[in-house]
Amino acid sequence: MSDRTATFGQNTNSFKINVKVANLTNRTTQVEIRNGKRFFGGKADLKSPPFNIEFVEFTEDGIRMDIPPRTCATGHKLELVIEFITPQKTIKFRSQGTVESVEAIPDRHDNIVASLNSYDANEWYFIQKLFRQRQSSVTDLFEKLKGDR
Amino acid sequence: MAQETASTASPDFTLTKDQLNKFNTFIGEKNILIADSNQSVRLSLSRVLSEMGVRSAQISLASKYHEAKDQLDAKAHEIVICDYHLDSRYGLELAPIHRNKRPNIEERLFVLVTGNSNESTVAEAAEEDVDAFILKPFSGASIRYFLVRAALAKAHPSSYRAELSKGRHLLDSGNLEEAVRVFNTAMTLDSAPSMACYYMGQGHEKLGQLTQGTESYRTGLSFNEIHYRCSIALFDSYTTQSKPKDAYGVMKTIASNFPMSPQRLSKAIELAVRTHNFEDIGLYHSIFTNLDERRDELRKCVCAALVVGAMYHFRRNNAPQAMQLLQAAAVTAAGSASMLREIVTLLVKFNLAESADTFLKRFDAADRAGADFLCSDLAVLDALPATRPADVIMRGRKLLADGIRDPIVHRIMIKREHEVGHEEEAERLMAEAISTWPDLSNSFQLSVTGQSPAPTK
Repeated sequence: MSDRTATFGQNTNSFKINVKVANLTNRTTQVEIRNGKRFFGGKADLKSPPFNIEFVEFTEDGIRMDIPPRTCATGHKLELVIEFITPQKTIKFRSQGTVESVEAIPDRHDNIVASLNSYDANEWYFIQKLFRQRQSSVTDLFEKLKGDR
Repeated sequence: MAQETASTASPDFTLTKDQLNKFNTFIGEKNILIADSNQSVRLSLSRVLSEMGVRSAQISLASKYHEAKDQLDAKAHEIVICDYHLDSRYGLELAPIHRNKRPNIEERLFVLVTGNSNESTVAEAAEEDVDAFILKPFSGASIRYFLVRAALAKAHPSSYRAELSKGRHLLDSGNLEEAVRVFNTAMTLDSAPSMACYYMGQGHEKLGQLTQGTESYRTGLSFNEIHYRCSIALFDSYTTQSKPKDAYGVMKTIASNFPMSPQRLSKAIELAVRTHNFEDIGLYHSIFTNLDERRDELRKCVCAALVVGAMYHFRRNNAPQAMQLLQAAAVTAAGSASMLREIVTLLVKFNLAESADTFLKRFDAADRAGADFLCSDLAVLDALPATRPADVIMRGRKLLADGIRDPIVHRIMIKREHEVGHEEEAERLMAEAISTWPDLSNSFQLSVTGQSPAPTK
């Protein structure tokens, strides 16, 4: 705690990292989800309700996300732009990917796993390290507060 | 593994085969409840557990708080993994239920997996004795690592922790003197046994030995001057012993070194008011504004403290600081009519009717037919220097005719009716007021005795 002293009167949230999947483009079908809106062939699909893609999990080779239903199928090629927003800076991560699995959650969304390829490996390593360090820092604070330290 | 800290741990959260085997031994046939509103998260967590060798029959899933509670009631799962938010409730509300169902500390785990990274949430989880705090988005590796870590800390504790655990069992079963002896032994097993001191203090307190309890916490703080549990316990101890100034001193140390859970913040504010540390109210307000979760009870507590703090500053002729706190109170009140009324009443009391008038505009349109607004409005009208008595009387009579019964209305009407020589009406209102609110009879009489009688018509 002493190296990140909370000043009296300020509960901080220095662990906060917002993750926003700003753009998911299905190169196979030309469907695009950009800032929650669906586009097809560059034109907005006004009938589709807005949907914020949720980044659920870091998998072995890529990521798991909740996306609008019927956006892609196994084997489809994706282009992704994911923003990782910390109090200090925003990292805009671009990658291509392949859909490895799709699980339909009835009446809700699809849950997909995409393996990543064609991306800046150093940037991806940095992002994963950021999340690991965040987890370690939270655990340090948590255990100090529990009195385990 | 039980000894290493997260910050010195393997940065990629890898586990050895031995650790995984020990985890599987710990899990055995235990049942696991996963509670999360997001189905993808429930499935991901199930998948990770299955990959670790847990059978699907051991895993229950719940998407809502009530589902989770019902399942916990029915099956008494040894392990609960849940999110901070569960539909409209909080996952941590399951923690005391879980402890009740599974009083044996060694066999249970409560793990929070949440996207809420606010430090006050971490403090809340620590105070609820949660075993691990895992952030979303997670990786399978982080889930595995922290689950195994939490499990092995229970299954293979150090000799110090084993002694602490033994002592806790004795505390829980009411064998208090033996518990204190065990914690005394535990103190010899670690170079900085603040936790043993904390539990020893708990034992002394349960034995009614408050002074020894306080001493134990202070001893714990001598090993680690910012040991959270000892600090909180010392604060609670001083509070129980009606030593608010000492308690407040400890609270300020806690606030300076640790994030505050909402419950702790509420206690700090109440104590600041009780000990007249009004200068600190603004700081507690800033802690409140940084919380992700601002529950209604806490909001009311903060608002009330800001108003009391403003009163303090008015009395010290520090109107600018008072007005700042009132502005903060009005924003924090988020349109609460009763709180806005408190603010207006205070300003009228300190002869700041014009300022009070600006706060009337903050009432929601929907509240303008309600008693809080109408009484506040009358109070401001009565206080404004250019107001004619007849205007106040006309407004007040309308409120009374509409059935508004409020001490403010009666007080103002008694004063004004007396002022213009309507003695019979003033006396009738006085009798009605004293009968309805006998505790306030002095203030009603002051409305009249504080005025010179009006000349007779």
